[in-house]
Amino acid sequence: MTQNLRHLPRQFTLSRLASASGSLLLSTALLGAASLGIAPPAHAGDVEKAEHVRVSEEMRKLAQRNAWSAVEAQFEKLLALQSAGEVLTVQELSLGIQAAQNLGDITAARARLEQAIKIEANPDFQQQIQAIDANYGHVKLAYDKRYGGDRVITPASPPFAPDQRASIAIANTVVAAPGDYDGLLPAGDYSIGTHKFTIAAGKDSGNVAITPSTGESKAFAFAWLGPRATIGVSELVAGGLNSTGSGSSAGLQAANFGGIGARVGVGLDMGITPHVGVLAEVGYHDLFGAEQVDGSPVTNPDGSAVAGNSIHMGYGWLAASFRFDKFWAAAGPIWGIGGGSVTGATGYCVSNPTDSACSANAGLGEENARYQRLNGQIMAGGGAASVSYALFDVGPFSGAVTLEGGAQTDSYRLYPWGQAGLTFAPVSKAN
Amino acid sequence: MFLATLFATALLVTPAAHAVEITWVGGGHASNPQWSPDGSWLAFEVNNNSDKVDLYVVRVQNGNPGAATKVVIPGSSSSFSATGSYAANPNWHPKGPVIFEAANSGGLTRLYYLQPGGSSPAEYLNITQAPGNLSWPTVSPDGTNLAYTSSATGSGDIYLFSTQTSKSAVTTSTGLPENAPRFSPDGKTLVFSRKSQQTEDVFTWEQGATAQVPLKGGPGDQSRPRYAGDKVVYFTNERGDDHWDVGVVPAVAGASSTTVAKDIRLPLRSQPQLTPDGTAVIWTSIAPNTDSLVYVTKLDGSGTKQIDTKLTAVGDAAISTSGGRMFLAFTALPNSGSDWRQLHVVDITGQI
Repeated sequence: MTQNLRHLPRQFTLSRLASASGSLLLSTALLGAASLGIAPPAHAGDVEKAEHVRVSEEMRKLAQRNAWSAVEAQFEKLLALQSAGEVLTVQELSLGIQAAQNLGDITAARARLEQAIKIEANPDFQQQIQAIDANYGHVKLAYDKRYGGDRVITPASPPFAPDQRASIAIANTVVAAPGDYDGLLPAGDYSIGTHKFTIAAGKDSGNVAITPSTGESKAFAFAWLGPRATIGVSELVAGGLNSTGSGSSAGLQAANFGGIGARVGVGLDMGITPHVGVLAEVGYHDLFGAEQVDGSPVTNPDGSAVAGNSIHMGYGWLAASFRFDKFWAAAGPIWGIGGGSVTGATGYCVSNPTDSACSANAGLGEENARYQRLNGQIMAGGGAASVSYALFDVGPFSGAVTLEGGAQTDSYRLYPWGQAGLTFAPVSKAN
Repeated sequence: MFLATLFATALLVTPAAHAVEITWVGGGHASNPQWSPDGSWLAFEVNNNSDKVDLYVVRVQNGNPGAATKVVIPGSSSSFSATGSYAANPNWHPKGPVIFEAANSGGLTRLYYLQPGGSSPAEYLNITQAPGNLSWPTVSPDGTNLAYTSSATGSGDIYLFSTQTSKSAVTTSTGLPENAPRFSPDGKTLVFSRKSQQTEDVFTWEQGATAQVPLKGGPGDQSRPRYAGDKVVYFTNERGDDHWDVGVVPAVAGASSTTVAKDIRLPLRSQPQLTPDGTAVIWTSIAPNTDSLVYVTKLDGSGTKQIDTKLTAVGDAAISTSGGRMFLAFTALPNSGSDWRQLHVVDITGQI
């Protein structure tokens, strides 16, 4: 064993195991390595002792049948019992090590051997570590995100030993996920696409960067792509006039109003990366509401109800969209244009009817302004955001419930709004 | 007496140096010693006459064997117990590991792999890759292919496993049991025996061929064949059940065979043992007053040499070279003190 190797055990343990999380057994190895190092509590109950005997016997029988996946599962139970105070025997530890070896997770097997030695200085364990170091070396295979070539780890000469063959198969499972591989592989020459590298027994071969060369760049593909539609009910409020809206140049303006309406939008949703995309949407937003003061409908002096308020507006929304599994979000600028009819006027000319700038509205007066019917145009820009939770898939679309909201301004006042609706958007290709 | 008749050349009897006995814990008869390709390890079987067989490996350095280690397959403990196992028929990979067949009590016989001095034995082919009882493993000279027999089809067929593809394929499925495959020196052809109507004959099969070619038949059994260059060496009892001989036949269909040794002590399980250069067969005799001798007979019939071990009931002889010296392993009853057949190693450099 070289001087380098004296440091390998530390390098091979938990941090490296954790980074290769795609392996079938690595999470188990992590649990096992950690658990083996835990000093057992002082007492184990009769239930734990009985279960220990049962699991141990079951594991031994499974090992006789070479059912190593099942042995591994039983070993995990023993590790849990160990945490409850049971003390594992050397034979049980050996079967756990053998399970990892037979399943090809040599990285985990080595970690378990190191932990087992701390419990019992069994020369067989040391011999097995030496055997692993004599035949395996460490490597980290880091695949560039742009790499689109063959990801398969191919040995120049396939090893004869079954554990070595299995370890390569395990590594290929990890990199096919897709992911990087950080662990042990049999010593020898390998290739990944056009990349060639060598793993030396008992040495750390370091990082092998799998970068795209000519013809190996990954062809761009949208993570999701397709039309998106959202429909739902909304509430819109036209807020109070700001200083600009209350100025003499603003003229007659509608009083505060608001109401419930419908909002529907259609657009195109494009996932540029697995989690981030772009959404472009156009839609229609309306509002219908009765003019009210202090919660009561406003009536004309003759007692008849005043005409209700309404807005019909089209909008365009350009947003960054985000997806994390079933959770979606989008946020970005929105601009709308439309028209409305409102009962009730306010503004500078209502409060300053004698001003020369308000000659067109002379004589309106505050009482009449209350019943003044206004028709006008709205052009308002602002921002909008939505959050969704995907519930189901229908063909190429996912269905989600959506809460959406935003605020726009025409420079005179703010128009905050909110919506609850149902969204259909393209299924993520990662799904 | 018959030897003088059989071989025209004079016999040279050479006394061997003092043989070193290999020891292990517990009793049992040693048999079937198989040298590793580099001559630094011996694998051998131990049985105690109750159908329980253990496999041991022992490191041999300059003719000095270390302590023999019993190979314990997963899930077993001692084979000499009610829950014992069976481990036998070791065959070495050209690069060092040993392949053998083994079974836990009541379980299937499977193929196992062991790197001596390294990890514990592991099943070589899982039940998905190769169902059934597996036996007679043998590795191609380049180490890339493994041949074995399987009971998967119910009649015992020979399968070929490729490390290139990690897949097994049956060579040719027949309704008759085939046994004891061995690769040709170029790895392209297998020689094996097939039982039919109470007799056993030798066949060859070339990879890719659809048919198996008869090589040696005739009365009695022709059994456990192996290549020796362009020839095939085999055991035969064509003279009767109590007379086992060593036959040689060119590996060409229709060629005539010759008998190079008669009334041999038939090894329990191994194929004929050859000298490291493959030009001579090593054997022991059941003839009276010869049971201390190991014979080395040239396959071309040019001569035989004898090595006197000074022990009795000598059998299962095997020769290897290591460090420029030649070593003989053999089983024999000790002169006194035990009824078990022990395994011995002796330096025979310059004697053959």
